[in-house]
Amino acid sequence: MPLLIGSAVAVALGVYGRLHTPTGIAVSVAGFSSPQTVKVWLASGSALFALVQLFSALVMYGKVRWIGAPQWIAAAHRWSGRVAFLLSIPVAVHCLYALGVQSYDMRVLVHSVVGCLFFGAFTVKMLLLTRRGLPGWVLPLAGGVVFTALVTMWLTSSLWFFTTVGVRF
Amino acid sequence: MVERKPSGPVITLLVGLATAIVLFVLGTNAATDELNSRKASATVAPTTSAPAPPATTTPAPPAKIRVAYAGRVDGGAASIAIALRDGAAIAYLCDGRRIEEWMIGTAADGKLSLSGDGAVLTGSYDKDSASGTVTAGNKNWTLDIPVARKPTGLYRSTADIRNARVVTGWIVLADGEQVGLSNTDGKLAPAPRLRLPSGSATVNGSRVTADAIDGASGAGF
Repeated sequence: MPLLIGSAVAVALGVYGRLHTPTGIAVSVAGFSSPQTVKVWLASGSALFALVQLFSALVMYGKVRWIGAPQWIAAAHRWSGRVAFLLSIPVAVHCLYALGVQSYDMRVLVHSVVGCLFFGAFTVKMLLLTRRGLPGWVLPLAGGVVFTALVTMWLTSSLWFFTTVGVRF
Repeated sequence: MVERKPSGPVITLLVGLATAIVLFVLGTNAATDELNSRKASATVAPTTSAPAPPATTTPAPPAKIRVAYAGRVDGGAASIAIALRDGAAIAYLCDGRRIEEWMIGTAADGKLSLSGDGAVLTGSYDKDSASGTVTAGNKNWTLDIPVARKPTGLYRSTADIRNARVVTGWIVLADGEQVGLSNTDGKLAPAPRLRLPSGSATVNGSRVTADAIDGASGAGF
């Protein structure tokens, strides 16, 4: 069931992004030179929190020996995840609303497809969390997919921007 | 209470969805505001404090206009081509030496509003011509260019050649002259001759095929 809902989310985003006419317009945020740079930095923030996610997940599963299993790590995982998700939303809204799903080269195609998958995978992961009695490998797998998708998004957008356009604010 | 565990993850999802909806609505309004403010002022960069338009009429849906314009800017220092398709617009400004700007934006109600990385184009269009002002870097030009009929118009190729991304743009003018630049990861070089009507060219020793960006085919949009 979570898989079905997640798939529906991914497909709905993709169809919307493909069908509507991109507007090419966005809201600028004061202090940044263009809407693109706003997105680049929001996405980078999101990716940074994704790294926190990976680390705190490893701690929770006892994979990081030297830190043990501190009380606060679960809360840290939850809240860093929420922040990462919230930061990614304005980026996604702008991408879908102003640019849409495009396929004019490999980077853009991968970015478009993985972007839709990311929100689907995230939905699946959140809904799985509410289930009891899942096999132990399910959550790490779902989390891993979400993390990989977000990192792919960052590599195909922000890193590309930093390396081709330069580091700008 | 059978369901002891409060469904925090579900709340997270719902908060995310709500945020997206709020932003989407804000974005839609901002798009309308920004279009109106760009109409009022040709050179002012878009800001968050776009003044609310006095007019309360809802914008008309984009006209089904699919056309391209090409020509030299006034003074002839650079050339520009603009392609329109159902309200979306793509433009390429190029002097064949140092300046090139790809811009995207909108065409609605006879008004053009495009922007690119450091470039802004505002103006108007009808079935015969497009006119307006384009600002790139710290230069600006006025333009009044006619409708382009193939093979006149805008062409673009994107290729990965020896691990480098090469984007080449060509403006083919009515007199047959081609103005274009090849951009290899930010380095500009004169564009090679575009063979027409096949649209093929040899960029950095590799054969590439350019798409005509003319609005009618939808290529590039």
